[in-house]
Amino acid sequence: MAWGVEAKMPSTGNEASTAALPWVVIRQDGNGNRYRVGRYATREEAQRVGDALDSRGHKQLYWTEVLSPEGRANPYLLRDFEQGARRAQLEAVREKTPPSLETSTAATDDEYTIAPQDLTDRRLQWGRPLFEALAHVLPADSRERWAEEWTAEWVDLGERRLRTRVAFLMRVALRSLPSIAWTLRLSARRQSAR
Amino acid sequence: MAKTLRMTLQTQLVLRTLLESPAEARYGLELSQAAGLPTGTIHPILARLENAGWLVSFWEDRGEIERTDPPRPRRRYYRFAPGGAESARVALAGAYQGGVASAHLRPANGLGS
Repeated sequence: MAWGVEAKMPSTGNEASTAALPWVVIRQDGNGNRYRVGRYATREEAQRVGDALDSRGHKQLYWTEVLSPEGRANPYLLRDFEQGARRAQLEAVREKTPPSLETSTAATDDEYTIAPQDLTDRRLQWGRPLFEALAHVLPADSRERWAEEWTAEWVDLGERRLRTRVAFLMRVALRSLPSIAWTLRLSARRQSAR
Repeated sequence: MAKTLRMTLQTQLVLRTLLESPAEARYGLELSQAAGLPTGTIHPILARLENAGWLVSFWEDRGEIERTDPPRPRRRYYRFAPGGAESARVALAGAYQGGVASAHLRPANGLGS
């Protein structure tokens, strides 16, 4: 597990947003990939978000960094870096892998992508209510099951093209849903007739 | 007792995929990809097979999900019910025989001459 403190800013006009929201929460996964979770105006806000994410108890680690418009390391972050390095050593001992020096230098702002966990959260945020609404066509006792199953597959399709995901939604809504509703209702009617 | 099922081409593809490893449990998206079916189309087939008593389904173990990175919603897994694999084999053989028989009814060159 590696930690970084210095963040280089690309000279592509991001200075204004960096100045307005200088604090950044960074997440690093078990493979050393670094993701920017979000930008924040104050350190307290960033720390609060980082702590909340950290408390999820997964393998990922979260910490805050500052992005200076000049692309220099912020000396005030040295303490954070030392703490981070200690945590990295502890993690490395726990995982029996040495911290990678290569990834200890911070990535540029462009290298940060949206974290997979955040993508999952976003898809769950509106995917689950959507499938729950669709599942109202089904008999009451099977709605939750199918909504959850479709939501899981929807999240699994997260990395696929938008076209594939839209096609999945359309097929579920227009083909699977009516067909399953028919099968389940017919089966229930046959059972009650016996 | 297992019911008989209408053996559409898609149903046959799903059953053949499941029969490749009858003891293994697989989830919907994985099955549709393995069977070469478009995503989102396999659920009615699975529902019919489950309703007929050929398949059983169950939720993924929560401990399994916790180990994934990033954590995701639990999946619904399907595998053959006791006797389901045998019913599937018999039905597939019947569908194959039916296909061969109907193929023999057609003219050899497909134009009737």
